[in-house]
This record gives sequence, C-alpha cells and structure tokens, in this order.
Amino acid sequence: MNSQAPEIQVNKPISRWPICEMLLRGTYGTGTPAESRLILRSRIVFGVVLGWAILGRESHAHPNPVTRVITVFLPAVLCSYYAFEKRKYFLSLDELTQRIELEGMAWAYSLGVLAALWAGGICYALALRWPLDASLLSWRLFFLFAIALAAIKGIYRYFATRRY
Amino acid sequence: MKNELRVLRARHNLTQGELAEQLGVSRQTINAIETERYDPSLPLAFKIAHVFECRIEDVFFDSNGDQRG
Repeated sequence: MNSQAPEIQVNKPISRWPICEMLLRGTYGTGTPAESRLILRSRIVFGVVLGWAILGRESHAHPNPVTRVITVFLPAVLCSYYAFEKRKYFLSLDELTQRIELEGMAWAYSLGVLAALWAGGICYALALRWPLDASLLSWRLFFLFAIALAAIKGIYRYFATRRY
Repeated sequence: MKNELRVLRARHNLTQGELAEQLGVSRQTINAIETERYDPSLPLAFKIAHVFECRIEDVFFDSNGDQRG
C-alpha cells in the first residue's frame, strides 16, 4: 500500500447514533428483525405491566387470593421475560454495540453497588439518630442489595471462566 | 491502530452503509473504525481485508511504526 497521502478525498461522515431510540427503547436503531422483535415484546410487557397495575389497585380494593397471587408473581415473571428478550437482542448486535452495552452494564453495576452502599450508610446513620422511626430502619436492605449484586457477579464470573 | 479503510472504501465506491451491510455490522461501527476510535476484532479485520481483496496489513497498520507494505 502506498504510504504517501492518498489522492482520493473522502468526506468524513459523522457518527449519528439514534439518540432517541437509545434513550427511550434501549436499542440502537439497527432496524434488524431482532430489534423489531424486542420492540414488539417490550410493548407487550409494558401493556401487561399496565394491566397488572390496574389489577393491583382492584385487588387491593377487593381482596381475592387469585388476583393477589398474580400481582405478587407477575412483575418477576415479566422482568425475567424481558431480560430473556434483551439477551437475545444483545447477541444479535455487532461487536461495537455489544461492547457499548457491556460497558454500560459494567458502569451500571459498579455505580449501583456504590449507590446502594452510600444509601445504606446514610439510612443507617439516620436510623441511629432517630431510632424510633421505623421507616428509616430499612437500611439493611441496601447492604443486602449490594451483597446480592456482588454475589451474582461472582457466581457469573465463576461460570464464565469455565468457558475459557 | 491506523487504517486505510476510508480510502479503500472510496476506491471501491462504497458508502459506509453498503460496506456495513456486506460485513454484517452497523454503519456506526464502520465510522468508528474509520475515525480510529475503535479497533475491530481480528475476524472483522479479516472480513474487511477480504471485501477489499487485499492483505490485512494493507488495511490496518501500527500507529507507532508505520509498517505499510
């Protein structure tokens, strides 16, 4: 290859990432079938969550064992399903977008643990200051959340290393 | 890592979108490689060299020691 300055002049197009889709949907505007699938499935999940919220209000007004069970388990089931769909979408992305997603997850994890520890510490300090206020005694939850996140990451790391 | 991707693309009359489609990546990935903000994986680098029918070192070269042939 000629090491001199190239004679062909090419415009430098700017990157133009789809900001709106990235912020609102969490997708990259690739227009692939995997992205369309994720958008459709997330709309379904959102619709069911809306129904769940309405049902939750109704079940609160009229206690019914069946609707109560649904309101307890539905959010977890929906979140699991959305995570499953999101994973499929992640695997369909190209290497740069996968790297961006991984960087985002790494920062979300690190900042999540940090925020939980800070919140736990602050709530603990407040609980010591006003020991009779029961609403401030939930500081343990923040620490448990941080420990749970770290434990999940540790377990995943263990299984991930088995692949290499 | 420096590269000649923009020049090669222009020589082959390809837009970023067309090249991205051939390689199975997003247009933003091609732009990031051209602007040297992202170094592609080895399989993608080989794919790029294959599209332009040249050696991988004709497309990518070390930014410190200019090793273009």
